[in-house]
Amino acid sequence: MKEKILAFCLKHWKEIGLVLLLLVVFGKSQYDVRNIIKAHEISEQSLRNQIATLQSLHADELELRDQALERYRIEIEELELEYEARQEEIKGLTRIEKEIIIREFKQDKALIIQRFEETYGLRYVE
Amino acid sequence: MLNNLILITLLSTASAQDFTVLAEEQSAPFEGVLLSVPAAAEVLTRYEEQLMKCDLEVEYQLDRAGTECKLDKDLLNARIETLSKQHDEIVTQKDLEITKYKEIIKKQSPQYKWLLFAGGVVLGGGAYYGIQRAAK
Repeated sequence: MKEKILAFCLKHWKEIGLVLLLLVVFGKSQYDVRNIIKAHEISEQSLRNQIATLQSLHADELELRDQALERYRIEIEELELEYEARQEEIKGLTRIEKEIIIREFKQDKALIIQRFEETYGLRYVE
Repeated sequence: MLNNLILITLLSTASAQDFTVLAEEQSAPFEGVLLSVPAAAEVLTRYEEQLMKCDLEVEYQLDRAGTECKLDKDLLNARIETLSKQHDEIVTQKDLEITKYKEIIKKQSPQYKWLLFAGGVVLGGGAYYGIQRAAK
């Protein structure tokens, strides 16, 4: 039996060698394909991680933007309220000032003359 | 109230900036515009009022511009912070990726690859020689 196998191997050693070589090439190509798949998986995992982080960062940025816009809205609202209050204050001051001028005119005309001179630079004529 | 009147000059008989104060029925020293006391008070206070309004408007517009500037700054800071974190994350992931690729490459290119190649050549040559000898 052993002699038969040996004779067969010796007779067909090239074919056997070719089959062994093909097996080695097949094994190596399988190994390479596994490595390529592994590299692809690494790349995919990396991209998945990046997407997840970017989504989280985007959500954080939106929150920061919303907070900034809310602060802006509140500040503008406060400014407008203060602006309106100051306008009312000016109106009130002007009304009081008018009353003072009218009263002053009755009491002392020199005061109104002085006011015209100081405010508009006009010259009083007797 | 109407006993006293104010005259502000506008026309030729007085110089350009003259004014006078008149009592009721008193004759005017020159041709001009006569204002009642409330109207004169209006003229006098209007100037001060406009000054105050102008100051208020400037202050308001400055505050508003400052607030808008602060908003822009906050938005840009948020963008910078996000971009900075994105950059760090991408670099970290790429570093990790490179490390893993290196491991794969290292497996495929062992340290003694030339020795293995030489061993393979010697083994192949030896096998060929042995078979040829056996066949004879």
